[in-house]
Amino acid sequence: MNDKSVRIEDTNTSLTGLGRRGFMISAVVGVIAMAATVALGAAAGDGMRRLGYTYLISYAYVLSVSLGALTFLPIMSVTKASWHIVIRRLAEVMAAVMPLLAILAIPVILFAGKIYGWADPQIAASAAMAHKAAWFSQGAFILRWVIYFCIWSGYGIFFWRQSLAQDVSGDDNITRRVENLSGFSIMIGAITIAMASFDLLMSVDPLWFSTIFGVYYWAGGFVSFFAVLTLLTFGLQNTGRMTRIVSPEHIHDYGKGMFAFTFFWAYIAFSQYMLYWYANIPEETNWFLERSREGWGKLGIFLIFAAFVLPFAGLISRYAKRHRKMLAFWAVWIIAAQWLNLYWVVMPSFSEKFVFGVMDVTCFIGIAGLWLAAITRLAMGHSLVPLKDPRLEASLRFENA
Amino acid sequence: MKSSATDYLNNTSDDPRYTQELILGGNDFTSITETVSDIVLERKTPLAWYVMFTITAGLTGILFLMIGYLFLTGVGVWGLNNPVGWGWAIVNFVFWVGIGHAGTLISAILFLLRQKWRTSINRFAEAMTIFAVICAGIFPGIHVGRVWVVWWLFPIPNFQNMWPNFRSPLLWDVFAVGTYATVSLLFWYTGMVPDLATLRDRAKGRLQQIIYGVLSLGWVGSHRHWHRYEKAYLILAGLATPLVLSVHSVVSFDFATAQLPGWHTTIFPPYFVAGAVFSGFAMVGTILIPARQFFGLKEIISLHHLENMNKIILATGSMVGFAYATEFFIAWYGGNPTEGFAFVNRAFGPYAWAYWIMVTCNVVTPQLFWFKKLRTSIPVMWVLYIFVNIGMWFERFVITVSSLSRDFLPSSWAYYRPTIVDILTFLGSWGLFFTLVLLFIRFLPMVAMAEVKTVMPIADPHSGERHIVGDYHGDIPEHVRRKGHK
Repeated sequence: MNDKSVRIEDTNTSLTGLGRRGFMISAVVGVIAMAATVALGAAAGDGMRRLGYTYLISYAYVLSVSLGALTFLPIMSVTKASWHIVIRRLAEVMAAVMPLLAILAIPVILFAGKIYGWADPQIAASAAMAHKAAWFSQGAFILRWVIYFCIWSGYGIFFWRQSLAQDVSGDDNITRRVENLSGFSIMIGAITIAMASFDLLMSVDPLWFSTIFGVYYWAGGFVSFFAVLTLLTFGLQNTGRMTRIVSPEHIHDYGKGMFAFTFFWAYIAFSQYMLYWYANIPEETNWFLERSREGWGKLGIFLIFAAFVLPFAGLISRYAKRHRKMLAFWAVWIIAAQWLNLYWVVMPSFSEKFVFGVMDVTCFIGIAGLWLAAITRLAMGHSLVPLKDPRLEASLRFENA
Repeated sequence: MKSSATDYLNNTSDDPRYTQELILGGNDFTSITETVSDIVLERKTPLAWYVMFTITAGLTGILFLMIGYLFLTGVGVWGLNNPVGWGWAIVNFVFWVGIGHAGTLISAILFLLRQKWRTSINRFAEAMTIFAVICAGIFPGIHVGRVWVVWWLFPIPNFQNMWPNFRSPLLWDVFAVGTYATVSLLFWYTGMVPDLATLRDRAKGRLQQIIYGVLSLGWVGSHRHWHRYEKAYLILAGLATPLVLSVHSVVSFDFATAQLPGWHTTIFPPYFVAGAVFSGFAMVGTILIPARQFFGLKEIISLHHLENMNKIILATGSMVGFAYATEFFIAWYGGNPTEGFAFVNRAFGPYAWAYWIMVTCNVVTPQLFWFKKLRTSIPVMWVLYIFVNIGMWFERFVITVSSLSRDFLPSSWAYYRPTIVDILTFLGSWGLFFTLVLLFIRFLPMVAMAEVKTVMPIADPHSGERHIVGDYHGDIPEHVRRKGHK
């Protein structure tokens, strides 16, 4: 399927002509949607509590996509993979956008008093919370977020800068240097992502705990990363960029990524649910109990199909993984399903009854719009493909065989 | 496609411009066939083989003696006490099941990921999977106490309408391990058919011709055969991939569904899977290194292969370390005093010695593989493999025994000590494992010849100026033939 003669010069690898427009549109849409969200949040008349929860959900989701990119890059690097080189720049901008995500974390910290159980004086005073009072003091919470973002931004920008430097110098040592630091980045990434998921999402209910929660959050983000990557690639190709160089062989791998991690996510979600359901210890099942009644249970069952069964069945065939329209459909589907999964994780702590509103959608559009504007801004003025990567040639000739 | 290294056996360069050559020494199709099949057909069985076989067969004999003694006397011959009702039998079961996982990962997941280097080691690893599962399967069978009703493990319709408890993870184990054994065996055998046919064609003895002939199922290497073979292989790889996750996940359920502190935690399934792959790779390495040395396979199982294995060991060992840390953190975070106690007790209680052996061997020493010099040094890696084998056995020991020995009721706490029967049974299972490995080495092709050939540059008809013709007996042009070739 791969065009044997394709060269990097045969395609448009620059955002010129699209970048400014794309940046403006997504930034404006993002700002308007955020403004609408804030207005709706204020109108709700609950002291912005509802807004705080929905912000947390969409923020955690967008962050998980960038964290997916931040784990994708070093994994590819340590395995000396070559298939992904033609699309690596897209993952690089998704990871390099960490400083923006650090800024977007500020509202979470500001809203902490409204969304996190540990900030509730009544819960904080309970005996079960006594030993982690210091852990959940505001100072410690903020300090941890500073540490996470220093590490993530550092790595995200490192991968991005090194790759840009190689565009100029074509120095193979850059590939080696990135490779050498990637292993450590995977390890430190695993620890920080797990801890961040405990802080960001699990501590909404500070009495509940699950050792697998970090893997659960990461897996949802990783599958979403492949979905976003698919849509970005298709979007660029539809405007005549990166055509030919990203072949059905690469697209096939996107499909494999989505398929494999849909399954992996389900495996993790099942492990978490089944083990708590089976042992039936009240302090552990309580979290699931809240999420299994008043409409939340129906959403949970819906998610089994939406986030696992349907995309699994839909992506199993080779045909579907190489069919652009079908793959785009499943990419959108997976993004929606995984976002909905976080909704199911967080929102029942806000309301015992199922709620869903315009605010939830506008908030997602707002954060996603700002994120898209930022990655577009980062990608402007540089090639969309790492032009002098030593493995670029192998990537252009890549075949699934 | 040339190695930039000077030493022809060192293909571990990190130069991103080149893809490492996997098969070294100018081997061609013919030489691969001869190197591998001569071990089985031509070479005189070395004396060392007979010596080792005698030892391992002796140990296997001890295993069966111990099992006989157990059957005649009862599980009281083991060191079990109250509250430690699960002792070495379960530890050994989990240990051996785990060993098998490298084979499944290499044959299934690495196949789907198109990792060409897998071809040199997959046959060996898959064989070990099957032998490890055989060793593992013995223990649940003999630990039931009343062995004469061991068939109750299986849901066999019977006149009493007695069924096993489908809600018990122990029954899920029967299904999980049963499926695993079946699929692994099919996978191993399917992959071996073309090679068995090669042996059949090269065998000189009548008996060998008949046996390999029957086993190779009439394979003639026609296009249709290859087409179906590759389809079947892909489907089996797809089926085996979830098995890599499921088997050890279900084994972890044996512990994690219980309410016992130290057992009941949600990270167990992926943590057990990572640990299984970790221990499996270490065991493959432990045996592969002497085998490649002894049978002159250094050009086929190159340093690059071993380095890749070591990287997987480093990755999975770190995952295991990550799981240990997470468990500890959540034991504190969750605030359950019994859970917290279970972990403090592991690290500082009466089994602290076992715990620190586990941490040292599984988390600390594998970190040495960060250094290229160490992960490409044969003696270093072999020692580290042994450490991992020890560490992973102790991991299962720590999980099983430390949690049970100090349960909720301090008045019933007890220290568990294995008896000589426990020890001899475990040693015997090693004997059985190595006996099977030795038989495998002697009678079956140790390397997947047909698969290795597909990853050699000369297999690609479009590769440069090489014009390759012929079948696997290859009329290879003289200039690519190895010098001094038979």
